[in-house]
Amino acid sequence: MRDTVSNLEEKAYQYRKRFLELFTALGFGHVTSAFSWAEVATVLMNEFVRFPGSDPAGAADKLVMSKGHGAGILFPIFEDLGLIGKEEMEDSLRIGGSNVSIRKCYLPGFDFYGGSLGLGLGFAAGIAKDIQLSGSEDRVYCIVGDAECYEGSIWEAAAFAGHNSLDRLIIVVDRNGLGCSDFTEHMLRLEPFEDKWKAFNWETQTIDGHDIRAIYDALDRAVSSNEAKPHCIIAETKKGKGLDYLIDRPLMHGYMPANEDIDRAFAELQHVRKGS
Amino acid sequence: MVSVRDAFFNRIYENSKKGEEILIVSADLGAPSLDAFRQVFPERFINVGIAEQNLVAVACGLAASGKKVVAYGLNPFPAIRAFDQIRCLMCELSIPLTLCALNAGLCSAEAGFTHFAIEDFAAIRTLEGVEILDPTDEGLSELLADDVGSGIHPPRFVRFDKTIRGRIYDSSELSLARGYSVLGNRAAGTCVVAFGAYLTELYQKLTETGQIRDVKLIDCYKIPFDEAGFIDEIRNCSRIVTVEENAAAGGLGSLVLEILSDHRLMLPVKRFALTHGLYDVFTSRAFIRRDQGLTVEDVMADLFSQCGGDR
Repeated sequence: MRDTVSNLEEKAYQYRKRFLELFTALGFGHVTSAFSWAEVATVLMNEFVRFPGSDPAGAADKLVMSKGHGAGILFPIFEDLGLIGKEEMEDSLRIGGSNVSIRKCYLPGFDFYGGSLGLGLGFAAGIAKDIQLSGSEDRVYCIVGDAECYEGSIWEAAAFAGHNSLDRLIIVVDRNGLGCSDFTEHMLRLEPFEDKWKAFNWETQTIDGHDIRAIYDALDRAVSSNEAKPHCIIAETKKGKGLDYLIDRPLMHGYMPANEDIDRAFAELQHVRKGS
Repeated sequence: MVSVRDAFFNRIYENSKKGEEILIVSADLGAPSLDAFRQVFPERFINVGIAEQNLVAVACGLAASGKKVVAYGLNPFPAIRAFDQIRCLMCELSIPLTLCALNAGLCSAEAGFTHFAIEDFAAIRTLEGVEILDPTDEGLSELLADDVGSGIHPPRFVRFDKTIRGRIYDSSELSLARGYSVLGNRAAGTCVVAFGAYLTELYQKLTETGQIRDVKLIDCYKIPFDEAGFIDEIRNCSRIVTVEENAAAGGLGSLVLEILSDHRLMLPVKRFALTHGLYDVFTSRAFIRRDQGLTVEDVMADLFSQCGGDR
């Protein structure tokens, strides 16, 4: 690990805080989806993803954000990594703002809107097939929501990736247990979830998706694995993590703090941090 | 003489033997013309199974990574079932994918309503930057296959009517940039606008009867086509007849009416198109055409009984 666990935990807090600043100003966003995978995003982007031009050996990873509603947490990370300046980000992230600036710091594969759920994994599988055919050292990471896995296209892609032994494909499923309207196990059981991926010939791990060390170890195992299989990391998370008043509450999927809730959200975020 | 579908895949195979590295992603669909390709380049034939959404998504991932890709499935499933993948991946990212679909209109009507490719045209034509192609000639299929190798063409949706075979054009008469070709009498007052099987059947019939001298026949094999040139072609006509095997809503006739309206051209338009597709009996292409007054003879009667031709 290049950074320390405590530094990465602090980064995750700062990313959440910056997300709130950016998206409350915008007046639109999906805070619960963004926050549930904040630690995963922090570790993935700071420790694993090789940006074009950053790897001495020439590898350039791709990132497909299939769970598009959670993409907002990446924007503070883009800032932190120096891919885009603060002013440029703020000028872009407004109604009528140009998305060109933000898109230029996107990783290859990340330039499609993942909000239509179920599309990203097949796209990532196609990229992974290209990597396999080309024999390159690149990897493609794909972030999938657990409730997104109700889409049949996810399983079409899962079968394809498993059959084709797409071992350069690493997905993280944000297993926060909530869709929009209800808990996944109430509306339509996903469990036994890990077994389903195994049955499709994937290498699987289930981890605490808020534990920096566990996330790092899982990603490290996936990138180091000699198994000729795609890799699925099921990250058990809390939707809205960081804002306790949102946790385990259905119908908060499209929630973004507004008006008096904005101060409450910032205070809550700091309070939860102190308590952690 | 081969089908337009086989002409396409034959040329893909020839180009591959010459060194083009083209991938074919199939949703469990083959073709006699694909057998050699599969045998010689097995690693370049990727079968995703009967999974059209994944067909489009995987093919888009490959093409976005720089591969030259043909996706191939049975219409209307790639267009209708995978519409969202086409919209959010192929269209939104302007991916140079050639998405080929076997079946156009009613050419597989015996298989029932599920296999009627009659709404796909209207659906896909709403997508910005996506071209729809209906090859009416082997040469057109070959042009398309050659363009796959360029890797820089627009996103394309190709509808292959399995009954269309042979050539009706010299290569100089075809233009993917223009998107249409004109047959018959360019000075005729009656203009027939069509594509696909109707175009080839009408052309054959008009040629046999010698009446091709009395009409202008525009083959709109690529949508969108050069609209300004099209307007110039029809501006002086007295009457337009559109003929298609699509649902009337959003079909070629609708497109022509939109263009006329946009250009403030007041021309009478007669549309031959499907008014419905739901039947409680077994059907065929011929049956449905007869049932809805859409046979080639019906079109011919309309062309020549009302106006008597207007040479």
